[in-house]
Amino acid sequence: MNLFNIGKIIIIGYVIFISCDKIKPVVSSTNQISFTEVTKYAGLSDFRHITGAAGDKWFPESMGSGGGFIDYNGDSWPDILLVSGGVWPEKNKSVIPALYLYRNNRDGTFMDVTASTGLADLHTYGFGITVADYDNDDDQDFFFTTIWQNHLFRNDGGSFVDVTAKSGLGKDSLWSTSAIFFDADLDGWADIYVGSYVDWSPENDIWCTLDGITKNYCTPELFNGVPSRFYHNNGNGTFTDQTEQAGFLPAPGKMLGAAELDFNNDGWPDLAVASDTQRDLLYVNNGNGTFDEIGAISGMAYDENGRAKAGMGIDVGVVDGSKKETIFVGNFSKEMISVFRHQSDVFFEDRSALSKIGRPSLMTLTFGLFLFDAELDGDLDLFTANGHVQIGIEQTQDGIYYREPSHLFLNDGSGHFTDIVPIIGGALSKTIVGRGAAYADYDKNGTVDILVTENGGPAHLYRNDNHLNNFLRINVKSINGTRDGLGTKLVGIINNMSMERRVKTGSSFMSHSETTVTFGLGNAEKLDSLYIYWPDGTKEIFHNINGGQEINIMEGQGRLAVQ
Amino acid sequence: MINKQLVVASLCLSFIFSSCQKKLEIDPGMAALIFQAESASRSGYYNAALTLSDSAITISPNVADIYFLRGRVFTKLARLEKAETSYLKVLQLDPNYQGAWFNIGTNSLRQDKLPAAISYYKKEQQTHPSAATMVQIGKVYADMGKVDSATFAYEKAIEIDTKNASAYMRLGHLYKDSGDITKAIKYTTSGVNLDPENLDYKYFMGSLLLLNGEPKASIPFFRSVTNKRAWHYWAHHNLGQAYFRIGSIAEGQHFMDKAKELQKGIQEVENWRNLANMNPDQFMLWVNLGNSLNNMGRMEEAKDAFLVALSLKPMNFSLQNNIANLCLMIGDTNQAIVRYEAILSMDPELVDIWLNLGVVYASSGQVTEARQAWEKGLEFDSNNQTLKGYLETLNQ
Repeated sequence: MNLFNIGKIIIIGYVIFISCDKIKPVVSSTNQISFTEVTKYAGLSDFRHITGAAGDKWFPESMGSGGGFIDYNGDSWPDILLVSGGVWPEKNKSVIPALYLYRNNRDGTFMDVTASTGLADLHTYGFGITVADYDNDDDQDFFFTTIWQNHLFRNDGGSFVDVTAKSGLGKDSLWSTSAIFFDADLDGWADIYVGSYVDWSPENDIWCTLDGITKNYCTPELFNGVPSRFYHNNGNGTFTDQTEQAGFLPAPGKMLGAAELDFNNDGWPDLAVASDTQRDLLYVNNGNGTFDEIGAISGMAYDENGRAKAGMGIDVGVVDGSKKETIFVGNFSKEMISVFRHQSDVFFEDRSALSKIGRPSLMTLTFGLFLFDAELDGDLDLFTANGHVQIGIEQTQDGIYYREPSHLFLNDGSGHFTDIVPIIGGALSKTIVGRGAAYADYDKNGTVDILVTENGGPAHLYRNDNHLNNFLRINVKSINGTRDGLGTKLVGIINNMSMERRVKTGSSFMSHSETTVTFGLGNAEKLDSLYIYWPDGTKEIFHNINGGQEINIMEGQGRLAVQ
Repeated sequence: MINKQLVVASLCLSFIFSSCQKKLEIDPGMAALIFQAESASRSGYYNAALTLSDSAITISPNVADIYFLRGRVFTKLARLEKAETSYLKVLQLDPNYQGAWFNIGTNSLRQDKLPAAISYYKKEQQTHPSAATMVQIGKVYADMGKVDSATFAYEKAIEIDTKNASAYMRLGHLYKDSGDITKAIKYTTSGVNLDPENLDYKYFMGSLLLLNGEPKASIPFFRSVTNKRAWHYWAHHNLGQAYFRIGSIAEGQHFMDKAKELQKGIQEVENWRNLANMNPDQFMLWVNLGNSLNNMGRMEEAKDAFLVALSLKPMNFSLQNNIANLCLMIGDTNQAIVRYEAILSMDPELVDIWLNLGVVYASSGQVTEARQAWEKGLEFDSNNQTLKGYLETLNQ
């Protein structure tokens, strides 16, 4: 294994050096932060996730499901795609649609278009979605994970065609969880890594209990993990299983989240994987689309005592002036959220406690988790959706609850965070059984809004009501990379402060957030400079971009197009 | 006849929290029974300890010490409800009995009944204020996520006893979890200085230094642990990480590989321990726990697990033999001899036990006894080549 791999970097133009301890264009205060639940107004309140529970407490019932944003009709307004769970054929003759798609009416409301888009006839037991333009035809397709066969849906002019069989992605029948599209070999076609969980079936179900009397949901220690799979995009609508060839075997399985990163800045996408009760994984790209797993050596696989945590959702971003990527992983109750910042070479430092996230997250069970700039002050904050898996947990464990409030950790710009939900209360303090979490600016007002799904419950749309700070939103189109620019790195400079963002799918838990990049400008009117590092290694630089707008940038054109 | 005062003094030494302030008029016969029960408990003969205490209760049912002993035995056997019943009986007989509320609190803590644990510890603190109890109160508050209350409790413990290493260490943990590594190191340093031989403390100090970006400084602390606890997965893992971070890749890899080897064993131990504690009457769970501990070289702990298993199946000679072997390996020759002889008193035809007994005698220089044991074994298996070989060696 090459621990100190240096890949290709083609730099056009010049390199600038910016030193700063903090990312902080402006000082914001928590009283600026407010989220309003708009689920009912938006027309989403009829949605319910169905666990299929019929009294047997089968393990999968406690785990789902995800959801997220997709622009299925290409109007640049984020639509919403929700996974509705499923029912067990053995237990229930009636069936439910596996997915619900809601079109954004551009007025804060949504309309159910599941049937008219060709999605109503799929019945399965679903978990997660991930969205990308896998066939580079300028529209958003999506991949859907289930407990049986997964599905690939191709977008054909705003309606979907199930191309699973033809694509080669439907051969396995395993319990899949989160999936991520990314261009592993930088050939311009989005490959896919599909997370697998455990070897569970009704036949090998195990009796688990909290009180010694009644059956409750099991945890994964009792089941064998199933390794995740990697499929290479052949560029012709088909995929080839290259799990072993690409270096993803052996693996412990029990995967629940995956995030793309490039910690060594070699221009090749790496992958961080959250595993439930197994070590978390870090796949470093060898510069040719194959990977070495270096989680244990890097120091990010285990907690400070070398223990594997119950990794759920995951995300990665640069959250301080170090310019180093930091990995965030949601974990079980009585386990801190993991925070690992890249240090040097292949090594990461454990900042779970130092980031001030550790202690406030200790009692909650975090599933969905993502970084976004909540108050548009230029740094990335952390949102987490929480909820336990054991109904009645409060009867056996003091201080632990089945329904839990969310966390919103605001970043002070130096990688130190404060959970403001207990301070501001409001919609995010409502206790839920949180699972999936995703973000998008659904009302296109520049602030980033939140979508959360519940296990056996509704979805929640939280509108971000912070309007005090300025923003700049950017969509990229790549020519030599995947059409939707997966793996593109954008660095915004404002007042000598640097903000780094990445165009990516995956992250969080079974969910998909928009790929539009948002820069919080604070009270500045414009972004001083924008550096775009395209997946093919080229770089473009733009200067003096006015805030308060959403722009499109196509690789190599050298110009911005205002939406 | 056993001197009554001697009995009470003996109990004072062995009980964690026996007040021993009351000089009860104890029947000498009962005093002897208590003495024997205490001795049996200490040697791991838990059934015998309970039987003897039963007899003592028959003679004199109102002596709190007997119930306190029973509470401790039941705790050893992971029968926490029975332990609590015993401790409550102690308190019924003597509401100020030192240690009773404390032990009930600790059993509640083991069962994750945190508010209950706090209330029991507070009762103990009202009657017998101590730093140890305040430390436990702080620990429960910390487990409940109540950082301020935990801090207060630990600081109070230090106020009561400035030499209480545990209180400093707990404060160190608390500050570490809160992200204040400077304070964590400060308090942990105090704890380590007060109890410099404590390997758990050294391990935590090493972890703090590693977390603080001081891998080189952390290495001696981890080394102390790995040198004395070859099974310590966590210290090996962190030692590997520390070496990696100072650029000693080969050494780092060595310890990471070692940690990986140990990891499976550690997981097995944790799994069996959880299962055994949840199902304390399942013989095989304790045996499996003992085996998994023994495989890792954690012999004292393995012996403890086997002793609980033995209390469930007292006539299991194989298990008795294993316990005796462990006693021998730990260096408790006398206990090993007692246990081998106890097995032989029940079944004198067990040749392997005669062989083992002879080995113990021989290794402790008791040549005559060793010879007798091996010759006795040959009476039952005259063709046993091992026995013959040992005797031949002895003759030479």
